[in-house]
Amino acid sequence: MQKKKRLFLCLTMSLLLLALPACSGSSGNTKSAGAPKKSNGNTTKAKSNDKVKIEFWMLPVADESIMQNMVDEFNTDSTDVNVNMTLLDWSSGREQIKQGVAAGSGPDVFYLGAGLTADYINGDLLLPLKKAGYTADDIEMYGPLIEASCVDGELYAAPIVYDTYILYYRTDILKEYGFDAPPSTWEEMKDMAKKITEDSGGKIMGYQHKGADDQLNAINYTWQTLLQQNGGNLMDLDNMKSTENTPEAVEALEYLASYYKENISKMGTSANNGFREGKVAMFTFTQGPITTEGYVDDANMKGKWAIAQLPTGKNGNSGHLDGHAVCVNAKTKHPKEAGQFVKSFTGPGNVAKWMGGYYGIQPYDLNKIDAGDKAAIEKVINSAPELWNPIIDQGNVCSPDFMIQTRYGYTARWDGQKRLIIAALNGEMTPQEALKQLDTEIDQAL
Amino acid sequence: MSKRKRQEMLSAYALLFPAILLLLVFMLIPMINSAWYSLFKWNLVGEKKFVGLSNFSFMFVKDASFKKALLNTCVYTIINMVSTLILALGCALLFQKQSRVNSIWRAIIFVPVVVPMTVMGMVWKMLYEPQYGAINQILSAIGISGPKWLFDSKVAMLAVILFNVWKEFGLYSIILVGGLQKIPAELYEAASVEGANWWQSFRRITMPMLRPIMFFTTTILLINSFKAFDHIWVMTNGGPGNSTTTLVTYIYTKVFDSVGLASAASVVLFVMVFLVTMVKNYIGRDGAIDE
Repeated sequence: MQKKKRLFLCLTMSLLLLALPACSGSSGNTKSAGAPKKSNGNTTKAKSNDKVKIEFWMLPVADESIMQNMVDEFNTDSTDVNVNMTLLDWSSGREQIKQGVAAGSGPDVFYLGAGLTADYINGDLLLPLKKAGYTADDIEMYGPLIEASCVDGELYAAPIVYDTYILYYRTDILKEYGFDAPPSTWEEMKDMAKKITEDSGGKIMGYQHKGADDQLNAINYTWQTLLQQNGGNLMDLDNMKSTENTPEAVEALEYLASYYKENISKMGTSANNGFREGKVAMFTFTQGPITTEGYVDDANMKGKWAIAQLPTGKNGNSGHLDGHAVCVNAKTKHPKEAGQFVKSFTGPGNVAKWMGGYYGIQPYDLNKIDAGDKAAIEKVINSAPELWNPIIDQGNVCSPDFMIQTRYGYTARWDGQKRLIIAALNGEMTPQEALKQLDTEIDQAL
Repeated sequence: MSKRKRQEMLSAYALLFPAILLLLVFMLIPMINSAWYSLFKWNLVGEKKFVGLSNFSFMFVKDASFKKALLNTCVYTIINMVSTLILALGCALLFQKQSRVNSIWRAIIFVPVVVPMTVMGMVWKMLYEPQYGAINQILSAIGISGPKWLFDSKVAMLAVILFNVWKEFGLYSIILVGGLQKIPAELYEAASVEGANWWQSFRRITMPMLRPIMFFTTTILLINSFKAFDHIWVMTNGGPGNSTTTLVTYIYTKVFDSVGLASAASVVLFVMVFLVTMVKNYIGRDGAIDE
C-alpha cells in the first residue's frame, strides 16, 4: 500500500514538473533563452488604457534617465501608444537582441548599430522605415552619413548619434617636452611620442593605442582608423571577400606594432587612467571618455588637456566612424505605432538632449530641420566649442564607407581583429600571418 | 517476473523519471541538436545551409585559431591538473589531522572556492595589471621587474592557470582530506613498526588507499579543466592574441555568428573529453594501477 502511495507521489511530481513550463508565461516566448524579463514578444492592445503597447530594447547610448525621459514624454504626448523600454547592457545586449529577434519573440523596436548588420538584412528582420510611417521628407532631413543605414536606397534604421575618433592630448606634457601643438601626421605623432617616452625615462608614455591597453574591444576602432588612413579596405563588396590582408594593411599594422617593438608604448597600460594621471601624453579614441571618464568635469585636469582632429595618414584623416540607431522589427504587429515612437525618439527635437548627455555627432542636416531644433543644437555646440568643433570637423571628413563594409561579417571581424591584431602587436604572429588568418575567419563567416 | 519485482521496478523507474526527463530535455536533446547544427552554416538569424563536414574541415585545415585553441586546451588541462593535484594533495597531507589549527587552515584554503569565479577573476585581473597592479608593485619593491602578465602572450596562459589553481585547489584538498582521514591508522602504525620511513608509507599506504578518491578527483578536475571558460573570459577574453583561447572560448566567440562552427567545435570538445575520460577510466581500473 505504501509503495503504491510512493509510486503515485512520484508520478504526480513528474506531471507537475511537466506542467511547470506551461505556467511560465505566454506561449511562443520560450525559444528566447536570453530574452530580458520585460519582453512579451507580441504587442497587444492594453485593456487598461486601450493604448498599443510597444516593447523597446535599448542599449545605454546615453544615461538611462535621459532616455527614459524621452520615452516618458512620448508616452505622455501619445494618445494611442505606450512604450516600455528595457535597457540592456553593452556586454551582452546585442546578443540578447539578436536571439530575441531571431526567435520571433523580440521587441517591436530595438537598438542596432547605425551601419546595420547584414544578418538582420539578409534575414528580413528589419522593417523599412517607410513602411513604419516615415515619409520622404523625414528621410530628407538627414545628413550624408544616413547612407550607412540604407540598403538599396531603403532606410532601415534611424540614427541617433555617431561616434568618431579624435586625438586626446595633454597640453601640459606636450608643452613640457617642447611641443606647441598636437601632431598633424602619424609620423609626427610617432616622433613626438618617442621623444616624450625617452626624455621622461619611460615615466610618461608618449602615446598609447586604445585596445592595446585594458580596453581590448577598442583595438577594432584603432585598427580600422589606421587601415582607412593608409588606403586599405575591410571588404571587397563586389566579390564579398574580406580584404584585410593587403600591402596597405600590412604597412598600417607594422606601424602600429612599431610602437611596442621600439618601446614607445607598453601593452596593458590604461590610456584613460594614464591620461588622467599625466602618465600618458596622447591617445586616440571616440568622444566617450570626455564624459564617461569625467575629463570634462575633473578639476585636476582643467586646462591640462584638449582634443583635436586625427593626425593625417597617406589617405587623409578620415577615421573610425560608428553610430547608434534604432529600428523596427519586421514582425511587429504595430509598424505605424513603432514608427511614431522611433520618429519621436530619434527626431530633431531630441537631438539637443542626446548631445547634452554625450558628445556624439548628430545625424541631421541643420539647414533642413525646424529652426527651434536647430537653435537648441547650436546652443549646445556653442556651450563648449573647444570640444564640439574638433568632433564635428572630424565627423565631416568621415565617410560611411567603412560602416557599410563592417556590416558584413561583423561579429567575426569584431572578434577576429581583437585577437589577431593584438597577436601581431605582441609578436605572437607576424602582421601578414595575422591579417591572412583574419581574412580566413571573416570569409568563413560571410 | 514476480508481481513484487515488477512493482519494485516500476517504482524505481518512476523515481528515475524526473531526472531522466531533465537530462533528456536539458542535456541529451541539446547535445544531439548541437551535433546536427555542426553540419550547417548558420548565423543564428538567416537560413541554415547544409554544408556536410566542411565546418570540421575548415577548423582542422584552415583555421589557425582553432588549432591554437585545441593546443591551449591541452596545455591548460595538463598544467592545471598537475599543479592543482600537487597543491591539493600537499595541503591535504598537511592539514589532514583533526585539530583546531588545521580546521582553520582548511577553512582558509576553501575560501576562494566559495567566492564567485567572475568576481575573483576581476580582482586578479587588477592584481595582474602590469604597471599599477599589486603583484608587480610587490615584485618591484624587491627589485624584480614583473612580467606584463595578462598582456604578454608568453605569460598570460600561466597567469590564468595560476589563478585557477589558487581558486580551485581548496575544493580538491578538502575532498582528499576526507580520503586521507578514512585510511586506518593501524596501517601506518604497522609500517612504522616495520621501520618504514615517511616516503615509503606515503607510496605503499597513502597512495594506494587514496586511489578511489583520487580517481574521482582527477575525473572532476579533468572535466573542469577541459571546459574552463569564465575566468579566462573575464581576465583575457582569450587573449592577448590567441594565447589563452581555449576550445570553450572559441565556441563562445563563434556561436553568435557561425553556429555551425561553434557546434562543430563543441562536438570536438565532447569527443575529446569522452575519449580522455574513457582512457582514464580504463587505466584507472586496470590491475597494474589499482591492485
